Formats: sequence, C-alpha cells, structure tokens
Amino acid sequence: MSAYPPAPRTGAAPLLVAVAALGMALVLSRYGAGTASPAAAPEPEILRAAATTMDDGAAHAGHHQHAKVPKGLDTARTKEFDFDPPVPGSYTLPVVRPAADGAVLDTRGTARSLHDVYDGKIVLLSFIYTRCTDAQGCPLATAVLYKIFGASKADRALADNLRMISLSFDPQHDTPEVMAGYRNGESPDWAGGAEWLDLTTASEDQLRPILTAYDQVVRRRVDDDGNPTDAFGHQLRAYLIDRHQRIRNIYGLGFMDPRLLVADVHTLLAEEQAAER
Amino acid sequence: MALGTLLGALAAASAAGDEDVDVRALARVAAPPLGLPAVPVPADNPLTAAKVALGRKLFFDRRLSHNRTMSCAMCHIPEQGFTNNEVATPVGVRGRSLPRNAPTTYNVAYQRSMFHDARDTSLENQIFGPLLSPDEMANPSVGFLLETIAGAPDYAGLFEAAFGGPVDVIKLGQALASYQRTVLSGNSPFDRWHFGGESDAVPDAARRGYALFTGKAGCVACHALGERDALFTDHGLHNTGIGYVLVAGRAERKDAVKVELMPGVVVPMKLKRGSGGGARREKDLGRMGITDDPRDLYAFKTPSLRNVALTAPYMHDGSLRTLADVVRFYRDGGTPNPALDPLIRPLDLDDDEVAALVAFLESLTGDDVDELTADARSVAVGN
Amino acid sequence: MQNVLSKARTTIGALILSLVGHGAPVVADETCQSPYMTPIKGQEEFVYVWTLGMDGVGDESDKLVTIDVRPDSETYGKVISTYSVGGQHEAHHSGLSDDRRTLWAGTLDDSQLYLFDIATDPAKPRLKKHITDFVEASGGATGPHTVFALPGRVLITATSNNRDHGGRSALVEYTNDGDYVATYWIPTPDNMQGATGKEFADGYNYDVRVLPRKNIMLTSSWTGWSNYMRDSNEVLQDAEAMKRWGNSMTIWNLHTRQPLKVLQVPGAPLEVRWALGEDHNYAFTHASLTSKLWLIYQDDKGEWQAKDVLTVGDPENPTFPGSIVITNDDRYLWWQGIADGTTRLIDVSDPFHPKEIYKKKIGAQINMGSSSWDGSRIYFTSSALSKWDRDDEQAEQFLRAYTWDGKELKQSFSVDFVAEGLGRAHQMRFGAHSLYSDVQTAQR
Repeated sequence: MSAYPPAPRTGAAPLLVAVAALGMALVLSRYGAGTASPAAAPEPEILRAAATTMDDGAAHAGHHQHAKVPKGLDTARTKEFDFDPPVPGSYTLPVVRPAADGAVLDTRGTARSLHDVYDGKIVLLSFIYTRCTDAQGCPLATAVLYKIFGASKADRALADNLRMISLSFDPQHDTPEVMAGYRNGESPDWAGGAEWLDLTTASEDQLRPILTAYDQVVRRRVDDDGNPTDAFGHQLRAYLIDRHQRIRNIYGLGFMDPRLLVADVHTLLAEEQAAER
Repeated sequence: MALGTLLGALAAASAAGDEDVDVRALARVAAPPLGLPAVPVPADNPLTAAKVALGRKLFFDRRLSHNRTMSCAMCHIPEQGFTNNEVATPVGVRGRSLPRNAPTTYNVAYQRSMFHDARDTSLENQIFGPLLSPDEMANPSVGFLLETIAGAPDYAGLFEAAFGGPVDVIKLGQALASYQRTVLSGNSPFDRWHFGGESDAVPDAARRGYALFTGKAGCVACHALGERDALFTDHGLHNTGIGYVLVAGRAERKDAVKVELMPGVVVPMKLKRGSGGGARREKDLGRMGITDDPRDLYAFKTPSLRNVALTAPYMHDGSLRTLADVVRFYRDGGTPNPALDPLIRPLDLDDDEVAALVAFLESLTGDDVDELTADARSVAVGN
Repeated sequence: MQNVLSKARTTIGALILSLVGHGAPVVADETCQSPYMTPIKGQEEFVYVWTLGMDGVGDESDKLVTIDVRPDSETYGKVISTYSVGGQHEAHHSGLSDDRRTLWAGTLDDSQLYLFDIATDPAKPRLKKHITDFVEASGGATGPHTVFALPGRVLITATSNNRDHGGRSALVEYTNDGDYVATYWIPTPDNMQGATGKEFADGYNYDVRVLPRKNIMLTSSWTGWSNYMRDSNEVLQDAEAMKRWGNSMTIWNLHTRQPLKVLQVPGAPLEVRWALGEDHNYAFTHASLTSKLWLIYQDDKGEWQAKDVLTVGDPENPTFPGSIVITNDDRYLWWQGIADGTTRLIDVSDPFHPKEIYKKKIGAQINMGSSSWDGSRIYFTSSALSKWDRDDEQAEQFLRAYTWDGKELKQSFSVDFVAEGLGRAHQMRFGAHSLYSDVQTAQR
C-alpha cells in the first residue's frame, strides 16, 4: 500500500480494499474518470487518481492513460450518458420538499445539526456507507462527487457556493474516525475546491428520523440463516438542496451524471442571480 | 407549465382587477352591445357586482356535482362558444350520455324559455335541472348541494355579502342567473353594417346572404329580426324533421356502424347491446315529451343565431357539423315527416347562395368574444 | 481465523448479492417498468389487480385485488385479499414507486389517487394515503393514468383537464410521500414551449417511459374524459367525438422535463415500451384505433422519428390493442387485442420489419398483459373501460395466468371476477416478499 492516503485508523480497510478493487475500479472506468489500471491499482492509488484527475494532476497520479486531463468538468458524452447536458438556467428545478434537519457527527466527533452543516450553501447530500461494495451504489455516488470536486477546483462559483456531504447510514461501523478515513478529507489535497464533509450519526436512533425525512430506505441484508450481515440494501440517492434548505432534485441511478449535477447547481445559482435583479 | 402559468396570470389579474371584471359585466347589461335589445332583469333579482362574481364562481365550480367533476362550464365551455364543440351531445357525470346538444349561453338573458323543449321558465329556475339530474351533475338532493357550498371555506361570507343571507335555493338560482345574464355578445360585423350603418363592415357575400335570409330562403320567419335589434329567434318551437331523422336512423340500425377511426380510415364497428349509462339517444319526442300534445311532436325551440359560427355542432342533437350542412338541410326542405312545420319546405338555392347564407351567418359573431372568455376565466375553476 | 474467513465469505457474498441486486440502469411487469425500480427477476408472488367496481357485482366498488401466484402456496391462483375503496371512480392504471414500497392506483373519472402500502405485508396491501386534491394541486390536470417511478418521485400522466374535459393534459410530479411537486403541460399548437412539430401537436397524453442514457422521455396520446368516460356506442356514432383522439407522441428532455419534438403518430398511440438492450435506442407503441405497431427511433442524424412498421390483424376488423409487453431480450412483443380477446406474439428482433408469429384467444375481450421478467409467465385481464367493455352473452371479467414455453401459451389458472364478486379486472402489478425481506432500518 502506498502512503497516500494514510491507512484508515480503524476498521475500514477491508471494505476500502473491496470498494477499490471491485467498486471504484468498475465505477471509475465506467464513468471515464479512472486513469489507473483498475485491476492492478492498489486502493489508495485509485482514490488518489479519482481525486487528482479532476485537478489536472494526472502527472503525479502515477498511472495515466490520458496525458492531460482537462481541468474542470469533463463534458464529453459517455456510453451511459450519451447526450449533451442542459444549459444551466435554461430550465427550472421545482421544490421537492423541505430538507429536514437532523443530529449528526463530523469527523472529529463533534455534534452538529444538518442545517448548521448546510450553512447557507447549495448542498449535494449523498447517503453512503463505507463498506458498500456495490459498484452501482455508494462508490458510484462518491466517484461522482469526486468529479464534481474536481470541477469545483476550476470553477470558482462551485468552490464558493457548493458544499458536498457524504452521510453514512451505518453508524454502528462508520464512526467519526472511520469517516475521517473514508477519503482522508482533512488532507491538504482537498483544498481549493468545494468543501466536502463526511458525516455520520451517533446511533441508529439519531439516524432513523433523517432517513425517514429524506425518504431513503435502507435495509440491512441478512444471510441465508437470517443473521444480519455488514451489507445494506438501499436505493442509490443523492439530493440537491438549495440555500433555503429545500430539496430541489433527487438523483438515482441513471441520473448520476456529474454534468447534470453541476448544471443543476449552476441553475440554482442563476435562479438566485435572477431573483436579485 | 405554460397553461399553469397562464392560469396563474389570469388569477392574479382577477385578484387585482376582480371588480373591474364585474363592473364591465354590469356595464354590458346596462348598455348592451349594438344589435341587442335591453336586457330583461327580474324585479326580484336586480344585478349587482357581488351577485355576478358569485354566480361566475359557481358556474365554474366542479364541486357543484356529486363527485366534483362537473360544473356548468364543463358543457358550456367559454373557449368553445359556451357549448362543447368536441361532442355532438354532451357527457354528464360519470360519463353518462345526454340526448341533446348543449345550447350556448351567449345571450341567454334574452331567452323567454329554457331548454330545447322550452320546459322551464327562467334562468333562475333552470339551473336546478342540470344540478339535480342524475345524468348531468347528479347532486343527490338539494340539501347535499347546499351543504357542499355552505361547507366550502372559499364561499364563506359570499352569499351573505351578495344577498344578505346564507345560501339557499333561491339565492343559488339568482346568483347563477346573474352571471349568465352578463354574457352578452353583439356588435358583430352584421350589427355594425345593418344597425350601425358601416357600409363596409361585412363582405358582399354576407349582404347577399342577408337578402336571401330575409327573402326567398325565408329563414327570418323563425329567426326573426327587429327594427333596432335582432335576436334571430321567434322564441317558438318547430318540427324541422331532425328529431324524426334520429328515430328513422335508429330504426335501420344494425349491429355495426361505419366509424371514421382516423381521417380517411372508415371501418364497420360492432355496437354493444346496452348503454353505458345515461339517456339513450334512441328517441326524442321534443316538446311533446313535455305537453303530451301530438302537435308538438319533434318540435324544438328556435335558437338564436348570434355567434353561431362558434357553436358547432348544430341542431338540438348536434347532428350537423357545419353551417353549410345546416343551410343545405333547410335547402332540402328538412326531413319530411307527418308533423313537419309548414314553414320548412325545399328551397331553390344554388351553391353560391348556400355559401352566401353561410357568409351571413359568419358575420353574426360578436366583437367581445375574447372579453367574455377572459371574464369567464377570471375565476379559478373549483376543483 | 475462522472468523476472518467467515467474514470474508460474507463480504464476497454480499458483494455478489449486491451486484445482482442492483442491475444496470436499464432493468425493468417486469420488463416494462421504470428503469429506476428494482425488478422481480425471479418468481413473482402476488399479482395486484386494480379492479373497477361493476353494477350488480359484489359491493360494486373499485378495489385492489391481490391474487396469490406462489406455485407452492395452498392458495395459489386464488384471491387472498381485496381492499375496496368505496364507489366507482373508473379505476384504471396503477404504478409502483422506485423502492416498490407503494402502489399508486389512480382513477380516470374523479382523479383520485390511492397509495397502498405493499411492503409491510405484500400479501395484504393496505391504504396508507388517499389523495383527493390532484386536480387542484396540479392546476387543472385530471384523470391520472400512468404512475412512473423516478428516484424518490413519481411522474403521473394525466389524461384530461378541468376546463373542458377534452384531451389536453399534463404530466404531474409527486414525491414518494404523495406531495405535489410540479406540472408539465403537453405542448399544444398555441403553446409549443420551444418544441418542434407544431403541425402534429394536440396536447394529449397517455403513457410515459424514459431512456436515461439519451436523457429522453417519451409520452403518448389518447383522448379526453368526454370520450373515455362515455358509452362507446355514443362515441363511435359521434363524428365530432371521433375527431378527438390523440395523433401525437412527444419527445422530452428527461432531466429538464422540457418538450423537444412532437411526432405524428395517428390513431391514439397508447403504451410506450423502450427496448431494453443497451444499444437499442428505440421504443414501440400501439395505435389503438388503427391496430398499427409504431416504432420510435433515432435516425442517422440523431433525429427522433416515428414509423408504422406493422398492421396487426385485419385492418377492416381492428384488434383495438389495449397493451403491449416487450420481452427482456427485445426480440418479442405481446399484443393484446380488446376487440378479439386475442394475444399475439410479434417478432420484433428486426424492429423495422416485425412479423406476427403466434396468436391465442384468451377470452371474449382482453386489455392488459403482464409478463414475468424471464417471459415464462404471462397474465391477462379483461376490462378496458367501464363503458367500453362488451356486454353481450359472451362478456366476461377475469384474470387468466399462462405459461409460455417458447411455443405455446398454456393456462395455469383463471379467476372469474364476476363470480368472485370483484368487478372489472384492469391493470396488474407484481409483488414479492423478497423485495423487503431484509431488516428495515428506516420505516416510512
């Protein structure tokens, strides 16, 4: 294993290996972000590659098939998203519902409220659990956020106005410490773009009302004998929340195109500008 | 979204200029458009802005039916000539079939009797026919209807403000009549030419059509004109044979009918045995259904011809689709039957003359149609 | 050591499970559902039939009927639950939320929406919400029909409006909880909303399906309340009314819900069925009046086009198709004829040159067909509309289950909806315990 990011302090390693080897690799190759050779790459390289390709940093990522990845968002069509994204501001995003508050913990274990974390920013909220091994699940969501982070490093409006949140629905395992190691969010490599927070909750009791309010159904999978496993069944969901803490879009499989999410964020910014005029 | 936006804009306009709409409506009645006579208003139901506004709200309220799907306006659609252009005969609550075409409410203020068979006497009374008919709005009782209105929060205080007391049958009829009385449409090209002396207000064809209408075609015998105004009706009832056609046609009906499934594609279609509910159009005796007098067999009321270009399809059963069809029907002498009105006889009209009569009829469209539609849509549809 | 091995097995097991559990975006009655929904790829256990109340039958009320289709069950092929909503509202279609926890059942006449909880006990659906203000909330759209799952939301096609009861209508979006979100009106000639194809636009609406990888949504067109609620004898003999059938389909930007292009597809094109293959950028629809199969496809220039590719049955004697079902390999399509009670299998492996290869009479009249994911089981129901169903001595109301072995349909069981006191059987959705068998972390 390489030195970056540092090995998680507890627990997450086997899962990250699984994510890396089977989840992220699939995801990143599917979505065209991976410059690493998926099969050969050890987990940290893949995470690093995901983070750095967006930052024109492929040169120090070690593996690179593209000599120079454009800074910002890759706007090319892919097989999965074979269309041009809509022009921001050329459409409206209806208010889906209020984005509920809830009690959460940051990576230092500090108790926060969701609304406090939203902090008047435009928010992309992604429900995940770190041990997720489903290529179409949490690793996909996190890979999309990586790409948006990359976009934000070249896009001042995104960097200033967007906040991304990965919120675990596995508080039993995903302690603040584990979340701190999920993508090593405190590393200086994460400077210069949109702020990205990795949150969890203190308990299932704290978690449950949040999941209910956001309509995120999560089921712990059981084995053949009916015993709980480490895996969860869940519908991939990410939420776009405006500054007034209202949900403006819900993304699932088939909508997790970073270009669409970025277009939506800019559409909210355009709406704000129009309102000011 | 666009229609929603439009609705929103209209609602906003209405909220801002509500009173303007009602003031203009009252002004129409006080000084009717050119070509229309003074509006008869019952002494016990003087027009007020509050009554007109309340009546309009009621007219467009779908909650006034048993299952909240039918308002008066579902059959008297402002954009479709205050009738329904899309069906020969309208469709009542839960899809029930109705036997007769919906008469327009344009200029209904001047009608001396109500319904195609003249069975009711006033606008105030007439409304309880559709409200309580199981095939139309299907309110199961008067009490149910009054409770629906009294229980709707958005009606709180409206009857009190308009009438000084809570909703009851009298006030309900008066409110609806008050709004309908304001739907006046005149100052048509014909009016401006004939009554207003504007020589170029109508095309030549319409002038020739008018000469035929009042001359050899004899239409004016029933669709009467006055010296200073014209309603184009004698307020009488006549047997033109349309009612007889229906019976004769049905007698020949087999299991299959020819149906145009899409333009140019006509196939024989099997009919069901029964009716899916409502009245069946097997037979309609017309006025005789009310009087039991054989002399009234197949007699139906003479409609006004104002705005007739907007109120297709035609005749009491909607069986004729265009004005040219109607003129040709009369040219051919209606449908002979034992009680055919002697006024109906074959006419010597060539195709040019038919076209001229149509041009005349088309010149009877009032100039305030858009205003009346906007007036109608100034209120939100109830449900 | 044993623990570690055990854990490893569990992880790998979970991995495999999860990879199977979440298919690629295009998975889907099971082949015709929203791609955002988990399909039942194995044995469906229950068929939920949204059933119209019928005069003289049982309580005469619309109801959700649950039929047990577990092959090893003592009650296989039997009605195990009914939930009557009271009264006749022209029950028609139903749809599932993306998490399959909720079955939305709509009514065409008075625009009610009944939300049934099918997750707590899939064998016994329970009403959890009754939406009565669809018309008011949507700004005048009436007659909710298709309920199509989007992530966390549903898109409902409305079929009429509260201004004239004609065919102009809208798509209406709700949250999974049943809260109104937005209304999108179908383009009309006087308001195209930026779309092309003004000469074909009629504003009508019926079904909706999407092709996510192209960011495309496709809607079809039917007719308004004044026609679908009215006695068919009256409609067929009313020349004005016969002019009021949909002749269009609309291509939309899925993400922005903006219309792009109106296509000319005459004859009331009803159900929209996208092919499932990941290179298959085309959809089928059936023109119900003309008995024609239409293909909607992208031409060489990337433009969306519509083409009639097959007339099914005798043109002089239209089958009046009520539904179509596509198989998961995009090779075949089942075509249900209301008029002849016959299902036909059409080979669509060459989408431009389909051909009928098999047919079987199912009953006096059939409307809906629903197939298991693998195509080995297919269910048919009888009712079209309360005032269009045939009413002669052969008239019947049923659900009939068949197996398909690639050569022949063989009946497994039949439920007589009149004898059982149920009503007119219309639309089917599948349920299974397996969708909800794990431990719930959050309940709705």
